[in-house]
Amino acid sequence: MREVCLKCMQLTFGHTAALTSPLDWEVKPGEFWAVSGPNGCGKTTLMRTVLGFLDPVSGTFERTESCAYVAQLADELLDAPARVSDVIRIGLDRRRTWFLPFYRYRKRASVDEVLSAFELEALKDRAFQEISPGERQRVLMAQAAVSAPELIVLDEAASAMDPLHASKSYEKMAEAVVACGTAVVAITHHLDAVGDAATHVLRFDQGKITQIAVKKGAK
Amino acid sequence: MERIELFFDSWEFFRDAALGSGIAGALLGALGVYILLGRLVFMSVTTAQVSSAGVALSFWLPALTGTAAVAHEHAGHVHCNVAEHAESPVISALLSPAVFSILFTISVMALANVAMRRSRSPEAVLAVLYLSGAAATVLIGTQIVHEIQDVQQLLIGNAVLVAHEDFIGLGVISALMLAMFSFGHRGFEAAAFWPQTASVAGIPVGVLNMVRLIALTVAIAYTTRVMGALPVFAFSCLPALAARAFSPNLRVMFFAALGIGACAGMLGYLAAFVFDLPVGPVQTGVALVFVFISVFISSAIKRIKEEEAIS
Repeated sequence: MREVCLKCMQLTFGHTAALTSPLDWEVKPGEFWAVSGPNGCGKTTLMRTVLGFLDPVSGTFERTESCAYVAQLADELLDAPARVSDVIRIGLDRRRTWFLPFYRYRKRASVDEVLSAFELEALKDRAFQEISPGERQRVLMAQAAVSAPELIVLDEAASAMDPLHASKSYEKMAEAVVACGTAVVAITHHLDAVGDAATHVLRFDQGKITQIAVKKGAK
Repeated sequence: MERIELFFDSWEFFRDAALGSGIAGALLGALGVYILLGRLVFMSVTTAQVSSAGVALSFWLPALTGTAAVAHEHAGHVHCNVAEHAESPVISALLSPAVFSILFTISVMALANVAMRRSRSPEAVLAVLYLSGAAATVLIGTQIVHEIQDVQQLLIGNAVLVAHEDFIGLGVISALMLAMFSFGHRGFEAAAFWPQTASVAGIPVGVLNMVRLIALTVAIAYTTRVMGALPVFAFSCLPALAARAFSPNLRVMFFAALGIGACAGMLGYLAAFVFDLPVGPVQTGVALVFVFISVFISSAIKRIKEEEAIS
């Protein structure tokens, strides 16, 4: 296990020009960061930069290779037929493991574990297209958690859920993976929804970024 | 019954064409899953049209370049026997209809891919290509008066026989591609339908998507040369559409479409012989019958399940 899952050094980001002042930021194993701020402030751009989809404007960053990402739910995900358990299995493959016709037993068992952790057993054989948008987001959270990566990035992963289910899902994510040393970075418009799960908050406000530890013992 | 008996009595004669139809149906049916779900149906028909232009061009080029080409008819199938007469073996290989049409199609579709990425309207690029291919095929046809009827028969899919070397080539290409997509289905699925998730997980999304597009282009180009444009387009969409109606996931859909494509290819060939009809349109009709049957059965099952849930 690495000491730091994500480290930004004087990082600025944006599509053409820097959206914020330079960011120095460290995400350590077991931390749950809630990233909050108004629309268009650069939350998603920061995440897309550290995930490698965009080049930084300046500065550098280091990130663990063992990473999972839940993007904002897109309609194209609904084209391919898939059961809930099939969608979760997608999260098992990393780097070159996809070129094997069958999953190992241990990996198949981890699908059942994550189904149980996220209370999705009843939906296991349902078609992903037929369940509600909120349930789909819960399935995608489980997909990110199934391979127990060192870092999970959630981009408004509970936007289609009601506040109660959103809060419950973030708590389940914290119970399922943060306790095992996985770090989570969750972009959200509603800090209340993250509830007790978050240990830290990264707040974007008019080009400035502030970092706050919200739990006792969190540094 | 008499015609069916006659068909199987003459099995030696029809074997390559009947099995070739089944193999092409299986290959295109399985790959059609990525065409249908990847919203590449228009790309598929454009590739077949460009390939048709490539086939016509491959018959015209030897005459244009002065290469001594001898086109001779062999049991209803046209061969441009350039290899025996061209001065350079490299030129003769490149000008052979099969190789030329595949290389031509890959080159044109690669350029189209670049143009589509830069264009705000990728479908317009495909429309231009489709129309250019259709116009070029007709115009080139006027320059190859002696062979045009056979070329048109070939492109529509009315060829009664498949040459043995085409059958072997089809078998090798299909075996390689189906093995690659069967073993790597998880990677191809993740790259095609979950690109961001797969990319962050370190799966080579760009490479897999490029391999997938090249495989689709080669499969369509080669089978268009062997089977004709109409059945190729039908096999690349309809078996996947039939399989989509009842498949719970992509893996089942892949193998179901493979089986439906194989059955449509072989049954279509048999039906065309029995009723003395053109092969390509009958194969397309059989594939459509599979679509109607699977859609009807799956919606009936869904309705029964819904009624059971309500009661």
